[in-house]
Amino acid sequence: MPSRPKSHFSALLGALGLFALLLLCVTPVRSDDARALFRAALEADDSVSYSGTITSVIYDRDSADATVARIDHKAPNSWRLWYVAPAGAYGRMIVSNESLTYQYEPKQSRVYKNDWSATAPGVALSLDYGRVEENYTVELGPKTSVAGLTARSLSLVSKHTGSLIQRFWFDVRSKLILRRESYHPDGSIASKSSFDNIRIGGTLPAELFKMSVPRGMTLVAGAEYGKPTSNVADLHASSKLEFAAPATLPYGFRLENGSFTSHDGVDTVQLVYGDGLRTFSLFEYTNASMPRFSRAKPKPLRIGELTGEYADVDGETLASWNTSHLVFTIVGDLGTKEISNIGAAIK
Amino acid sequence: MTCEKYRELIIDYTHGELDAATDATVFEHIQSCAACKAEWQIETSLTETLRAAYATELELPMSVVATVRQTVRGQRSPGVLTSLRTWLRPAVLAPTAAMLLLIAVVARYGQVHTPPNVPQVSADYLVRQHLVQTMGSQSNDRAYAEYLLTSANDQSQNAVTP
Repeated sequence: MPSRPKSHFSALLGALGLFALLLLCVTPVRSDDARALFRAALEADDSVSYSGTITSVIYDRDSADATVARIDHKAPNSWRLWYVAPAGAYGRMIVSNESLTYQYEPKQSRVYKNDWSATAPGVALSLDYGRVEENYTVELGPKTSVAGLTARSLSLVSKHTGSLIQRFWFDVRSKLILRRESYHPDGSIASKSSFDNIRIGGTLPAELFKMSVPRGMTLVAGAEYGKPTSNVADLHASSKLEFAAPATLPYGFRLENGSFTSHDGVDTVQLVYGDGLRTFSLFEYTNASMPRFSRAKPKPLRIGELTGEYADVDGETLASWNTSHLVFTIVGDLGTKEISNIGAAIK
Repeated sequence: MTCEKYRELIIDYTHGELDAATDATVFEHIQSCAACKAEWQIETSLTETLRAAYATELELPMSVVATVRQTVRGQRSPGVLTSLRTWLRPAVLAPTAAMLLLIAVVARYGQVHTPPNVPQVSADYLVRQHLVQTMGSQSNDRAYAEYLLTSANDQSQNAVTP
């Protein structure tokens, strides 16, 4: 008799244990493991060399653009990209060490040089993991296969809205990111890039990444960009126009840096905001009218009491409106409702 | 019925407008009364002449044409109030107002977007400016971003157009 309750208790414990085990198997891992894998995946190319072909697709609301490029990477920071598509970029080669870039254009017999470390340090900025983890949960998905390799997925879900913003698949062994998908806040896909084939490891000759000007080609300076500062007081002092800033921002966003440029008589202040993963720029300028769209057809957008316009340009939402003395333009991966709220909050 | 009464019915009789009984009475009377028969023959002759005249197109005499033109020229133009009343009719006013409103909206819209002599910044240029400052972001696709930025190296002159 005394043994019966004991056997019931054991059976109950066993059932609970089985249930917990099942739960562990079914639920994606949301723990330090996922965060550690996230960091490992983003840092993998600092120590792993590879060669492969990558296809990228950027989706607008009613169209899509794609590039196909052959990538050779020698860890930690040497890159060589050779474009196969689109047709206009066929044959273009980029050699970069992440701060200096040489762009070879055989059709023009020119080599464009961009010194990102001097003109746009944002190119070489490393990811702020703390900001990402502050605003996003990292969820580890089940095993699958990408480009013939065993991979697992990591999903980044906004803690504020619950929206899936990005998902990527990394090679289980090397941790290299093999495939990535980004989503708009409304759930629609924004971009997708994936290795069609990849060879990890091996030795790549240093000559592949040598930045030199071949005979018959001319070295010319590439496009210039504003040098950013994270000190807004400096920006107020150095810029030639009185600019404003939004009093409120979407959840998790904050001002990251700002810059001032003067281009063909148009003075422009650019303020960059981010939440660790998503970013947007607020441009304010005088002496010019609202932006000129080359391909997209803008639609009207209400910004507080004003009416502006917006369109998708190269996978980013661009919205613009003007007041009596300034033109405001927001560029970034934001929904129109978010843009309207930011615009209405500008004081 | 007297001859005078019959002669009043002769025109209608000639044109077949009488009811059958009256028509028969008039017919009988014409057969027996020479004076009324002569009256009937005059009416019949006149009718035939008119029919023949309408059967062919006749040009109006020049004097008639000249008189008509002179009368039209001499007519006074309608007064201001009459004209205004004509224009304010709903059938005219509603489409006119809609058209004017449309022209005003188009003019205003055009003014906001392309004011004369004010330069325009290229939307593509602003996107590249955003991209270059956020290249370190995890949300950027490296191959595509590099493609866009390098494509801009020979297009930087198109950032602002007058």
